[in-house]
Amino acid sequence: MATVEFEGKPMDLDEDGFLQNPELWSEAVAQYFAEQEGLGTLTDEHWKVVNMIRNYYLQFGVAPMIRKVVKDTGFELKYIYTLFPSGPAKGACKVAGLPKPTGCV
Amino acid sequence: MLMVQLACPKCGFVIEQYGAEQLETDAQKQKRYQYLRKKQSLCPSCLTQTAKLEERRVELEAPPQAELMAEAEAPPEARAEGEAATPTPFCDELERGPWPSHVTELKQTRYHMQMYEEGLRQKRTQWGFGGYTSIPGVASGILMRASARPDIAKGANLVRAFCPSGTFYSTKTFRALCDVADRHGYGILHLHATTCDIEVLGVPKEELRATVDELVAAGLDVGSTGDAYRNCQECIGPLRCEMVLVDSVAMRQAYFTRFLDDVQYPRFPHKIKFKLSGCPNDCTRSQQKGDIAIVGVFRDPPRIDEARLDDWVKNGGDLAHVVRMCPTRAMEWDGRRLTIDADACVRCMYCINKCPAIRPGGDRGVAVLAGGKMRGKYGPLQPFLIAPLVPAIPPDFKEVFDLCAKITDVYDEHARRKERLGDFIYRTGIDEFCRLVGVAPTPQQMVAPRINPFYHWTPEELQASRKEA
Ligand code: HEM
Ligand code: SF4
Ligand code: SF4
Repeated sequence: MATVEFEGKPMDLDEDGFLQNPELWSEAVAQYFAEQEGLGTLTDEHWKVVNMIRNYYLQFGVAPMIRKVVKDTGFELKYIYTLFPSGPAKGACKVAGLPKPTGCV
Repeated sequence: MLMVQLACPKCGFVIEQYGAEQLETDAQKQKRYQYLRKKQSLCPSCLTQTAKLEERRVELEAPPQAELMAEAEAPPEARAEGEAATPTPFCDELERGPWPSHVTELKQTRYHMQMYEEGLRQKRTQWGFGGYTSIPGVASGILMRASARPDIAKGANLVRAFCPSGTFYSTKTFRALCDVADRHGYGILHLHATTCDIEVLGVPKEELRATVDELVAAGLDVGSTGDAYRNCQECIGPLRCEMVLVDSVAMRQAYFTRFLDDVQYPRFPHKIKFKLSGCPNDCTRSQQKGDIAIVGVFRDPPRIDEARLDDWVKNGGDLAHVVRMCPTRAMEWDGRRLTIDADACVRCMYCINKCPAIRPGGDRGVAVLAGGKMRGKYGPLQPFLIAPLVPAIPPDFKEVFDLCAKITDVYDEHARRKERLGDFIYRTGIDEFCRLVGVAPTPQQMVAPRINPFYHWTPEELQASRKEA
């Protein structure tokens, strides 16, 4: 558990660096997480994955299954892993501001 | 250290224990403790149902702290010596017998002997839960095990890699593998863990990347954890065995050629284990242990070599016994001629294993079964037969693996999160599942593909076979 200062407001993170309160998310926050993950500036392709995960989460309250991400973005799984080297569950969900997914990936 | 133990009142087995101090400060521990106090439990040691666990307070000697602290700070090489200096009376006991001792071996590695020692002293492992982790770029292949005794050892990671097909290593590869384990891990390899994986134990987090890179450089692919296709275990079939019906080793090679991405990038609802057996003897226990089992089978009835049969009977072969033991009574022997009723015979391999004059019949292929497992929601399940005979055509075995891919696609599309393939089929029903996969229903889906006659060799027979060899 850690709290970081972001644009003047405090932001709670869990021990793996996931956002605790999803409401605080914004595109600037996503960019901040992307730098934490070592991704640099987010490209359109990153955004496609992040937005898909974000919208799914807002609609259903859970992270999407990996199959769903692959299908909706049209990217191959391997390509998603090159976009987010720590994986769709860890990396992409973190950037999309979701709490840490349960499950083992 | 004062410990509070909850034990079985009948046999005294310690079911859980907590540090007394910890119990006072840690709310979660308190909750668990209260819960266990009230709950009816089954003692894992003597299997009695107990309404109430016995509570005991015992003073356990704390492990010699000073030395352990020194050990944690020392570099790995020095650590091994530090370990040896700490007394390990329980472990030492295991070195006394007349047989080679694993403790002697372990002491030469960087394994934390005190973890083992404490485990033996308290009769339960001091390691904690395990799980998968990943590092950037390596999605599958790294496991971690937490420590319940961080005062002795921090958690450890292990790296999984695939053994070469047929489990034949070149000495060069094997040396490289040992070097990696020595350089980065405890210096222990777990060779051919449950799914035929190589496991390099005790790799610190900072060295995971280097370990993976060096294994890959040695020609060993890393993977086989998480919700992915796992390693594929095959029987030694064509390399050693006379029973073999399909080339199981080539098939494993084809599996990796085709599915390496699915193995290394987890995406399924749960793990999917593959096993390949060259014949219905099923030496890889594919039907019990593989989510997808591929078993070599034959359609024509067993072939009888008349001349060889005469020889075998003359030399004391007990054919009458074999005929009697055929599980479906498909054989008939009038003292002169042996016949096998092709319709009654279930191709169980019993007579073929027993009598060298009876050989598997023609028209060979593989049966594909799905859903076998030991764990999961509905407990252990035997697999469901999906297709009784699929042609197995080298080099890529396209028909077989197309069907497997279809099965896992349906699973991926329809199963719930963390639902094993067997549980999924059990929940949807085999008819619905077959409709989704697109295979025609056949009578064989309803009958067991092999009935095990549980034949056990007698000591005399074993002696005789040793003499022959
Ligand atoms: C106390 C009485 C009975 C007991 C304890 C009993 C127990 C069992 C058990 C354990 C099985 C195996 C289930 C399996 O393989 O999963 C079985 C199967 C079967 N039983 Fe019974 N049974 C009893 C009475 C009967 C009676 C009276 C009949 C017929 C009138 C019958 C007909 C069958 C049939 C046809 C099967 C095979 C079902 C299958 O293979 O799917 N049983 N029984
Ligand atoms: S499964 Fe059959 S072919 Fe493979 S090793 Fe066993 S007996 Fe031989
Ligand atoms: S293979 Fe099995 S069922 Fe067929 S004849 Fe031999 S023993 Fe009987």
